[in-house]
Amino acid sequence: MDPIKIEGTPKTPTVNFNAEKGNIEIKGRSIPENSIEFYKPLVDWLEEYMNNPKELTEVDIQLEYFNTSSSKCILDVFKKLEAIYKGGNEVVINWHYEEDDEDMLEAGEDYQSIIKIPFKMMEIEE
Amino acid sequence: MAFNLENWIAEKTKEQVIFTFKGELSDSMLTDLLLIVENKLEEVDASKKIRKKVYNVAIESLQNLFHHSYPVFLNGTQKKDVRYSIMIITYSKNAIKITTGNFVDEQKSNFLKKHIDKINNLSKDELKILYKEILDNQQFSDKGGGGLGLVDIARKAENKINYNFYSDKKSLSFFDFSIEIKQ
Repeated sequence: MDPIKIEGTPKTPTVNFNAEKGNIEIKGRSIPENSIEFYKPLVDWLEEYMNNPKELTEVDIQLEYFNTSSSKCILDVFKKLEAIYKGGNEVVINWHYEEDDEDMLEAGEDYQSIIKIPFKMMEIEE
Repeated sequence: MAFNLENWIAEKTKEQVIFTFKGELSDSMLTDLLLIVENKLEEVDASKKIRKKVYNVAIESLQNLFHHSYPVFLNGTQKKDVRYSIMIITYSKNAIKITTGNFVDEQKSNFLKKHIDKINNLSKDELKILYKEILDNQQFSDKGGGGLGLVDIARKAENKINYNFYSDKKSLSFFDFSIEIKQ
């Protein structure tokens, strides 16, 4: 499976999806007007990855900002990961947030309460 | 008294103004404006935490304007209807305030009144529950989050939303929206 490598922009995140390593990474900011357009290829990629996932999929989400239009798309990403987890493979989500950014920590906790996968809340120290 | 746009803007810009925009928003303009807002906020005497909250609210507010402003004909040089939008950010020692203005049709104003009243009546925990409900259960429109934006704004600002509708006899009304992020 081809990896996804997308460079970040002021409105869209850096994305690295690597099936061989089982690494999924979304970093930066996600504030586009049309998030569905941006996230559709990512969700499609996961749909395919689901058929033959690694024993352990490690997910790193490190967002500085995301808008509500992205929030549903991020949930779609997590739902695919949840399906992998429910299929008996290990999935770990590392939710990174900046020190003092309680809103971002809370956003991670919101997802954690919806998605039945272990989340690790990781504070980034400045 | 009839609603006067210029008077409304004058009224809303009495405090120290950090940022204003009036006109029609385009996709590329939105990108530029967000960068300008972010840079302006860097200069403001507020903690990083507060600046981040303000920027979050600004992102949602600008994108709401972009998606939901109803085209209107305004006197002036414009020959066609425009999706006229206004955004003002003002600073005081106690709070940073974001104000927006745009025209909406009757259906939207009815939705907004009901939705904002509901949001304003909820506690912090209840807002969290509503946010997750909309996030997980409801279908999104092609334009956005089915009202998720306003819930998010209220959560981030940790404050109530102020609003007013000014309407003439036509079906359009001017939606005056503001929220303060306390320092």
